[in-house]
Amino acid sequence: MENGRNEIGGRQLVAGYLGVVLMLIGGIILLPLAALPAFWDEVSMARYFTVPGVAAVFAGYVMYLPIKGREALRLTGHQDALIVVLSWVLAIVFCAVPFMMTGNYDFTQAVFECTSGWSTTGLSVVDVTRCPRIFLLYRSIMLFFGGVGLVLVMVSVLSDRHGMRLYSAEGHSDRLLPNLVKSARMIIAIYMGYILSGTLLYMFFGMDWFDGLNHSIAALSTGGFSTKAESIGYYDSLGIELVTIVLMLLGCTNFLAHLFLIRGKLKTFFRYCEVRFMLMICGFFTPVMAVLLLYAGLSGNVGQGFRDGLFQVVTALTTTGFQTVDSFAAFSSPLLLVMTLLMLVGGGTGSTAGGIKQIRVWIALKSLYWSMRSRISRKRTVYSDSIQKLDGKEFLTARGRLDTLEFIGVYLSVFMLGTMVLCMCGFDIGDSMFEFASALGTVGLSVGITSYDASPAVLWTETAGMFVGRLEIYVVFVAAVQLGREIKHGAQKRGRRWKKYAR
Amino acid sequence: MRIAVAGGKTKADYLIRMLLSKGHELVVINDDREYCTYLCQTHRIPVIHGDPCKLYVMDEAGIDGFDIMIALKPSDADNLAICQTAKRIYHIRKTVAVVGNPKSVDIFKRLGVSTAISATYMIAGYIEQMSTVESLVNSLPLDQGNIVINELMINQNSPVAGRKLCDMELGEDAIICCIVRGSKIIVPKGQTGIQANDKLLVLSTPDSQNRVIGLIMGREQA
Amino acid sequence: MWNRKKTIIIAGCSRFGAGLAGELSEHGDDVIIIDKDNDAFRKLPPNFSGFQIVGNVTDPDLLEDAGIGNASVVVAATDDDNINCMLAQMARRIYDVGEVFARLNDTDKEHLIGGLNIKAIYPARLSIEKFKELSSIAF
Repeated sequence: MENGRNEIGGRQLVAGYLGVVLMLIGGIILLPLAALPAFWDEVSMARYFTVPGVAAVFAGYVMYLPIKGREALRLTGHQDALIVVLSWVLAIVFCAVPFMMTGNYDFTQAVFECTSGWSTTGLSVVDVTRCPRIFLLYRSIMLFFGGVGLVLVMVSVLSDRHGMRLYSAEGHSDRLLPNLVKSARMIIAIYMGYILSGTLLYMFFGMDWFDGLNHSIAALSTGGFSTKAESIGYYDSLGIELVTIVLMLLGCTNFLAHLFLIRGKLKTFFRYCEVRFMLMICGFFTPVMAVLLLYAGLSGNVGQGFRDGLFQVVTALTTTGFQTVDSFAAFSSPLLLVMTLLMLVGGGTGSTAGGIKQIRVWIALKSLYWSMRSRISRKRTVYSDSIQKLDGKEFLTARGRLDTLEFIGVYLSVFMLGTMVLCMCGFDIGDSMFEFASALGTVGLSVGITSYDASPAVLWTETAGMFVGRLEIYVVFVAAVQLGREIKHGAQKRGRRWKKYAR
Repeated sequence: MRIAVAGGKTKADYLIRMLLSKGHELVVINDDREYCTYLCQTHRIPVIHGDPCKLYVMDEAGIDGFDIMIALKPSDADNLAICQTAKRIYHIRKTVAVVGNPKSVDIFKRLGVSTAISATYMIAGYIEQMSTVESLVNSLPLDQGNIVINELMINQNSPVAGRKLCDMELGEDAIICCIVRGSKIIVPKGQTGIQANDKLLVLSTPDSQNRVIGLIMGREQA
Repeated sequence: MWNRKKTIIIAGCSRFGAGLAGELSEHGDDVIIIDKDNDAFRKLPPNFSGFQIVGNVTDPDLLEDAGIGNASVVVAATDDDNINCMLAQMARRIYDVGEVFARLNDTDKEHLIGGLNIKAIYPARLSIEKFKELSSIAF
């Protein structure tokens, strides 16, 4: 739909933006090759990356050409949501190609693994003991970019008039600096800074550089892909577990809060409602888990109970997915329930974590409290109901509270739906809830339902859950509706053109 | 002196009375027609109806060469505009403005207004003083609250009754600047003694105020 | 390449302020916009990526928190000429900002900002110029 000679709008513009994204995706697919010199014995696998990588860059360029150098018009309707969702779909599909080219994974499994990577979940069908290192690194690269967001990365390299709309559509709402490009770059810089520190700390505690780097990226992106089958449990090191806990907590903290932390404004940081809520939950549930673990005989002594309890609580809440226990299948019902609840709550908003998000749960709980209070208090007393945010108190309106509760309702509905599908695939209800909460919340802990041999129905259900969970449900829905409208509009136009020819 | 008063309501009314009673020549500019009518009927002074911020209104007021311009509008920015216009165009050397924000006082001075008064701040300070301090003590904050002047009534029970000034240790932050004995005003020196029924005027900082009052009156006042 | 982008403070989210904020933000500058009414920010275009602050634009504490000390440009764009003059003078004389602009409806206010290198924008005058440019009447 070209309007005027130099202005581009509508579908060509959408295609153009997707072209730029595709070029970026191509670049990402080619990234693992940079580390090839470190494990030159895997050079035969290089073509698995070069072929799709170069193809993506080329195809992206071709799609981008029509809008090159021309003035962009407005994006109409919800085309911004459409661009964001299609970008993620393209990322997942193209990144699946290297897996498929190895011949070991079919389309379903490859797409599953890539969705898990991009959504920073961490559920895996890959056997890490036999997986080439280049592919392990490739998964971590997907975690890195999925954690910050594909659109955020795009916006940090190009300055564009629609940047802000696309950025908001991907779910980023915090402004670190009064300039979009600078904000995006600052987020990436903070993220990389933490990853580097994490890698060094891991190496200090005994990991080699490769494992250190991969685990550091996985912890900060709250992804949870490990290079070891037993996850962090493999190391059985208190030092490594503590480093991991700190990195996971950092990963689930809001990026603007990080800016305050780095700038030394500790008082504001610790007063932030999400930070306090997170610490309260960890403080409350760790002893609970410890008791339950001891009771179920899964931990030897009290010290071990607290150590395992704390780690498992943090990994579930921050939606990372590392584990230090042997298997969740051995968990008793109360343990599974606690973990499921934590996975549903999730991490902080505006971070790499998933779940319903701490601030929403906090608002919901406070809402219940205010509602109870209004039933018992005297009519004329005035209250100012607020939550503590980084820039001061926010006074919640009825609309704000309603939006939060509605989101929680939608999230739990999707959760129920997914759990139902898994139950129908033959799994028991406790296991299904755990597994789907893990997928929807982009956590990555598994009771065993997810595996290389799992049925396509299971894998696709979980893929859908991870995708929808990462993009916070609404955007996917809006994009789907927009896509429907575009197709209908296109069909109508074509119908009219045929009619003209028929005359 | 010839004084122009721009804007204001209740403040303007009392101010006008006080200035007239001292014999000054006044011109009043106000944008409330009813109020202008009232002023005109109550006092016999020229009253101009219009927005004092506008040049053509000030022209009609004929204030060129006046001695003082007092701006009493509720908006700080309006008062600044009035004072600066008075200074630059009508050659009025002394300008006084009332400001709502105490932080504006300093800014107004730097932008050329002779005096800026943060009325609300001073009133609040005064009310606070009067409410929390007991009746034998009167206090007034000066210089935007940086200094407090306290008026203390001495009776037989005060620890300082019968003592000399040089024997009292008031510290660095306070000084007894004046003693009122009957109808006599005494500027005290080191050897001056304090008697019962004297009224002392003590200058102090707000921080040392409580300590000084406690020392002189024998008990900490809240 | 590094820092040719400027930090700009716009006071008043009027249509002029909002539109200017949008364009500067798109251009890549750091923009901070202040208005006393939160609803005024609805005028901001969706591509605006700077900070929004609610408060009194002539409050020195608010201006300092907003970073007027580091600002290279201040634009007084409220609907009140007197507030614009006061802010422009504060920006120039107290905070020594490089470029200061003031939107003034009344050309008589010129004397208030004279001698301070404040750039005045008179919408009425600009509209008249545009009219002369577009119309067929010979002036």
